[in-house]
Amino acid sequence: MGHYQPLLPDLILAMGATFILLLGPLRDSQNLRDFLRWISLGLVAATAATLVWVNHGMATPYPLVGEGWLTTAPLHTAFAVVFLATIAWTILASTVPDEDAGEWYSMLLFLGTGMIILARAANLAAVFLGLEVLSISLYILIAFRYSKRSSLRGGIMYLLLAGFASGFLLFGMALIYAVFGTLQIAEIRTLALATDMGPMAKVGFGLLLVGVGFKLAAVPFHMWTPEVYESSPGTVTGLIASSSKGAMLAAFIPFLFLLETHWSIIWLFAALSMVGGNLLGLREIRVKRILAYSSIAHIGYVLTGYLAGDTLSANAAFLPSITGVNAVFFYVVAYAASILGAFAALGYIQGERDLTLRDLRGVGRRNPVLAFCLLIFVWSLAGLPPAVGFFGKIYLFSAAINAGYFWLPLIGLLGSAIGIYYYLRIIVHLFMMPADASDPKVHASTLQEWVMLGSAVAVIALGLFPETIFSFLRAF
Amino acid sequence: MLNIDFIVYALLVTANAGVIIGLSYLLGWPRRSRVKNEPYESGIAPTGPAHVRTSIPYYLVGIAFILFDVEVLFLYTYGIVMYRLEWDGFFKAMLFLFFVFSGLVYIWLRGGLMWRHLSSKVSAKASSSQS
Amino acid sequence: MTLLLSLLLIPLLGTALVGLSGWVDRNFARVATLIIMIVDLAVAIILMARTSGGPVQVIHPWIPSFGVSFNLYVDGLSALLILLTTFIGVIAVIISWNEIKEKVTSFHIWMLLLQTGILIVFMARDMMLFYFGWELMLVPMFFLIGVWGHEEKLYSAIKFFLFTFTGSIFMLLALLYVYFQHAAQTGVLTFDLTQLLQTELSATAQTWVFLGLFVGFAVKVPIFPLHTWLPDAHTQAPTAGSLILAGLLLKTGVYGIMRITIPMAPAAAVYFTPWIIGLALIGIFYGALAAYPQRDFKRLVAYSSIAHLGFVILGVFVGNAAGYQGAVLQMVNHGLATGALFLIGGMLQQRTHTRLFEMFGGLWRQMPVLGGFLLFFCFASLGIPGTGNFIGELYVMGGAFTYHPLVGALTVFGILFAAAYSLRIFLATMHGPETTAFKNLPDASPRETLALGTLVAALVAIGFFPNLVTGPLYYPPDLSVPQSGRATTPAMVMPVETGTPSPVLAPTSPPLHTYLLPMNSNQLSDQRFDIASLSPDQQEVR
Repeated sequence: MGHYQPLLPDLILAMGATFILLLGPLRDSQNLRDFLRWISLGLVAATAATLVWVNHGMATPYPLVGEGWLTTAPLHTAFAVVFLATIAWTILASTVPDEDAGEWYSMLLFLGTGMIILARAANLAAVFLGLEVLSISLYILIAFRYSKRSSLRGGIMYLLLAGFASGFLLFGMALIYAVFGTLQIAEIRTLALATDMGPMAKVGFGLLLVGVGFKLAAVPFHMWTPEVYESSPGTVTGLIASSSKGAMLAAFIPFLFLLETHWSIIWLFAALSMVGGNLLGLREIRVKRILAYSSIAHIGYVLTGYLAGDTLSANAAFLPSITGVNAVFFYVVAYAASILGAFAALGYIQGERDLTLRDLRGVGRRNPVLAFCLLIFVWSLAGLPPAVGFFGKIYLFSAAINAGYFWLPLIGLLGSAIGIYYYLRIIVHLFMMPADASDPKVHASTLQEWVMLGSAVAVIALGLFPETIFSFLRAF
Repeated sequence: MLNIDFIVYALLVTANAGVIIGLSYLLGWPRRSRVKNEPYESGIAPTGPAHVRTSIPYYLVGIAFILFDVEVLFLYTYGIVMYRLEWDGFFKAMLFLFFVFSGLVYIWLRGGLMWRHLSSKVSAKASSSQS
Repeated sequence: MTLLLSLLLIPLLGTALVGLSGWVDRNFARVATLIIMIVDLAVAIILMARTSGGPVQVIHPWIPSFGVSFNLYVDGLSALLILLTTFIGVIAVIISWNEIKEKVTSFHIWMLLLQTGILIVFMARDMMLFYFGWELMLVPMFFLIGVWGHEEKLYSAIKFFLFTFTGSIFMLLALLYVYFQHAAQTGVLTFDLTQLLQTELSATAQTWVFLGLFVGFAVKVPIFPLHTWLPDAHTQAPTAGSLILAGLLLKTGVYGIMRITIPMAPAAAVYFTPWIIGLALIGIFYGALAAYPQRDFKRLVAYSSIAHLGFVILGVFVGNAAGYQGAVLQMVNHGLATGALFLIGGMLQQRTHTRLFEMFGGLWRQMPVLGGFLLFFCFASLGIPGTGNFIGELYVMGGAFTYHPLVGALTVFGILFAAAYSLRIFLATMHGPETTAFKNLPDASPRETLALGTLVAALVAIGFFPNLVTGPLYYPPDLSVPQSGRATTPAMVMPVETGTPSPVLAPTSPPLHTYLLPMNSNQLSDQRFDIASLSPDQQEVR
């Protein structure tokens, strides 16, 4: 059974998720729900521990396990652990609908399974498998409040568009397989770099990029973002924005050799996202949509980091410690820490209808803890010190400058200056506007408030000691 | 390198589609009549209201059937190479069956197979969500 | 050195103390903040004494993989501005004692955070730490204006934030460019300014680096076309906010230009000098002309700030020691005098709930003490002899004449304009027909008298002993720090950057700390700055 060992984390998580799915309908009681929460948390922790244990000390660039499906490269393992942490955070912070607790936790765990497969994929088929496990869990989580019309609408919208994107991705993979005769990304890389790519391979990689662009919601494939973000439960929105995109970003790292041929497409994605995302957010008044547009802009920043490449790519920088990929890792951690909290906080405030800026008025008075946390998260998203987003942005743009790009960091920084405006609007409505007659409804349990507060403190602490994230990365 | 095969293939496909559409346009001509405008030409004449209520449990069971039907399909492919894959393949097939079986148990526990109970529950939920 | 760290940590950790005490009773928050500010001021005075023996530096590793270190470096100029910061911090707490009635605790927490940010800017030798502090200043100021400001507060707060943030982007890009150039040339990853200054930059690169850094700092100063945020922000901010904006935040921009922009790209600085002097002159006249017809007390003072800062920038860029000393003098004087005018504007508004001149008139009869103070500060603002502003403007004019007689002549007219708007403030409020709208307005309370009296004392002290301010500029340099290799390139060199005291222009009277603490003064040169000896060939510091 030796060769099952590397797949142990995925198996533990998937089987645990199945187990919880079966436990859920057994009895309808608060005790069972609490039990399910803690057991899910334990499963995530066990998975993370197994992941670290299984992959420890395998430092070679892209070693493969599980019949060539997964890589044990330290960066990818670190990504997977971060995604598991976001799942654990969501398990703690989410408000679970009473009757469907089993399904909720189970789907979160399946989502985690998809993420850790996708983040460590070394094979086109594994990319697709991970993506689909992730997406199917997300369809269910988005439409979880299925008695609400908007929730169903968001779920179906995501289902249709993600299915569409999967089609592009799959057709691209088919073309790539037709040209190179292998699904192993490492082999494709070698073949693609050794020979001149024919038009079919170029089209294949182009379609692959379309699929990735859909998943990442880079402009021009960003249309689904505001609607889906608006209608999902707050914590799930945070996951869509942070780790589900992050998993796709991690899966894309082995494809960075595409920078040789397709860099202009990625450049365009990045520039359009940074400008478009920030401009679209300016006139929006629904808060979750504002953050949705901001997430589009943030994907633009991350893609800027990707253009800077990794140590393996040809634009190898003269400063190995600030490679684009390391900066992307830092940013994914920083962004996840901020956006998860922000969307969760908005989820607690949200009432029946769409949450507008006006609804935020008076929250600073009513619930200062939550408002303070939201302030910190927005602060971090805006990239201001001492929150962690500050160094995240600086690393990304440093990496880009390091790799010889000039206009892209300039566009990004100007874009973030535009974006500051809508972040300030959120802060203004939270703290500086008189409350309306109707009090804002905030439903957050004590546990949730503590989780938020811890998260806010973490955002500040990581911002003051950003080296921690790199030390974490080096520990693998 | 120009991939000739690919271009030739693409051209052939386009040409084929074009020829078929063009021929049907040239050879046929439009005849409009009452029968022609019916939804199903030479089919059963539609009668009654379009919004017919169908039992929701029917769809649920139907979807469950299709799901398991499709998943069992993989066992056929496994059956062909069962001996070549030896015990390792057997374990993997068992793992697959475990997940499929868990799905069945879940539907069972959730009451997805209790026709009468289900129809009352679903209709109750639907009416509550409408209000 | 624990001194530097404690200077930073006292306000930073003080936020927690203030938060706790404000939770018990809101008045405790005020008292706690006042105590913290006074302790910080005491630390700053000790620091001033220490720096007279050479710069004080502390380096801790912070983000080694990025070459960022927690590198604080305080020499005479920094120590002077730190002293100003902590001093104005104390005044700001005293002055908002009665004005701030809502959300008292959070107001004081933001004040302390703001103070931390400003102190980081004045102390940081590491450019990433500098940028960190630079951005850290924004959010507290945004809250001070946005929550406790006046009628147009949100508009002004957002405008202030967006202007400064957009400017800082260009600064960041320029800093990162120099950082990578330095790394490429030496293989050393560092943001240490001392080492970054060694980077060889081509003429084109210098031009872009200069422009990037200059735009970033010019927004904050503000220099003429980038000034539009200033009247709004100053007018709408609460009194303490206006005081800190005028007294300190504008100075961070000038400090950045003196410390970073010019040494980083000296050749480009020389190239752009005529243009920038032109902008400074436009600022002087535009500020004065725009100030005079204002109807709003604080708005008039805000526009006058643009004119005063024009003098400062002029002094920095004329490129000789007199101008440089004048610039530093004007920085301090403007902080004190204009800050005091904002205080009086705030006091009048607190009493009458208006800032419009047409509502005032003949108030002298009701409030002679406050009127007296206003008279003094208006005179200080127009540069009457006996106040520090006179000396500062004299130095700047001397420098300007040395640079070009035409510039010097125009500067004199600028001072004439200053007299016009300064006197208008006084005449429109205290003189004229007595307004019927306000009866029995209370005169300055002891607390207000204390705050304003301290500022009067400081201005008069600088007026009679300008070496209190210019002295620290000639503190001995730290010889262990490698000096910039740029000194050999044909460029304008700041006396502080090279660290060598000019043979002509060295202080005579012992600086401030000798009155407070015993010190070893034999390191100081005993040569005298003689205003009569201003001649072009002696003035130019090459």
